Amino acid sequence: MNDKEIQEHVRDALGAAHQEQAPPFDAVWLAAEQRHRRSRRRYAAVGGIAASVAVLAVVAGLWPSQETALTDEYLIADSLLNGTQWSAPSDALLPQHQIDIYQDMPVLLESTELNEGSLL
Amino acid sequence: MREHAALDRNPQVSLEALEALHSQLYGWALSRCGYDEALAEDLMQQAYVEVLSGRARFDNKSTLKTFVFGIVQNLARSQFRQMAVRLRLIRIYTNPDEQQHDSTSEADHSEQQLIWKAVEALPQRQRDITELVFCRDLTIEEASQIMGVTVGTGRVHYDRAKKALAVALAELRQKESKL
Repeated sequence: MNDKEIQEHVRDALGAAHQEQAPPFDAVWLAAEQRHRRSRRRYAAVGGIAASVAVLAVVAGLWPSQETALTDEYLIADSLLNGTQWSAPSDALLPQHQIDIYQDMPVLLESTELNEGSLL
Repeated sequence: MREHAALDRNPQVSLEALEALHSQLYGWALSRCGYDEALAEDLMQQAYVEVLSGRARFDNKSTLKTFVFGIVQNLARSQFRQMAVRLRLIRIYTNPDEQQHDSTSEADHSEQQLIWKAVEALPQRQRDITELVFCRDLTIEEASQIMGVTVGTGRVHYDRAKKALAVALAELRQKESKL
């Protein structure tokens, strides 16, 4: 059996098994155009709503701005500086009033009086 | 009067050319949807929307027929296959008599129905290429392109399908001659 015969048999069999009565082209095309238009309108509506929401958010001050971000950073640094302290382990050896140590300077060298031009 | 202008977003495609392919494309869409007419029409509309919107763009690299058949094939693969299977299952379970009738009255089937049963019994790709080449007048190269396989693979499917069908037809003739 050659290709041509098989083809004829298969083609006839398809025709007998299923009726392929296509709906009119114009009707299908029109429906497709309407579907396309609806789809475009839907996309436009969704885009419009998204833009409106963004504008409203900016207007209402909900949108995070640059200023807010800087203030936040300043506040973080400030709280860190105020809230952080460090002390060395040797601080315990220091007297209570550290500044007193240097108040009375000890006399390290006292020259003797001159006796006939030379130090005693 | 049909407008002659090409489509805005697909300047290489004209309405006349699409209309000329409409019947064949519908047949292909039917086949992709398990021969459900409503689904096939929906699939056709969706395919035309793809062309209208320019999401599928024809650039003359293939024939227009291959292009639109490919759109239907891809849409069916992505959207309609599951739906078609579901519909087929619903039909089977809501009307079991129909299935019983199919299986028990094989003797009453005409030769053409038996041949079509042999086609339907082929693996999916062999069946697709058989339909595209034998019933939709496409070459093996074009059919392979629509199916998304290489020409070599297409040829293998075609050859196997042809052999299987030749065997089925030969058996059918033997049965007829015995009667």
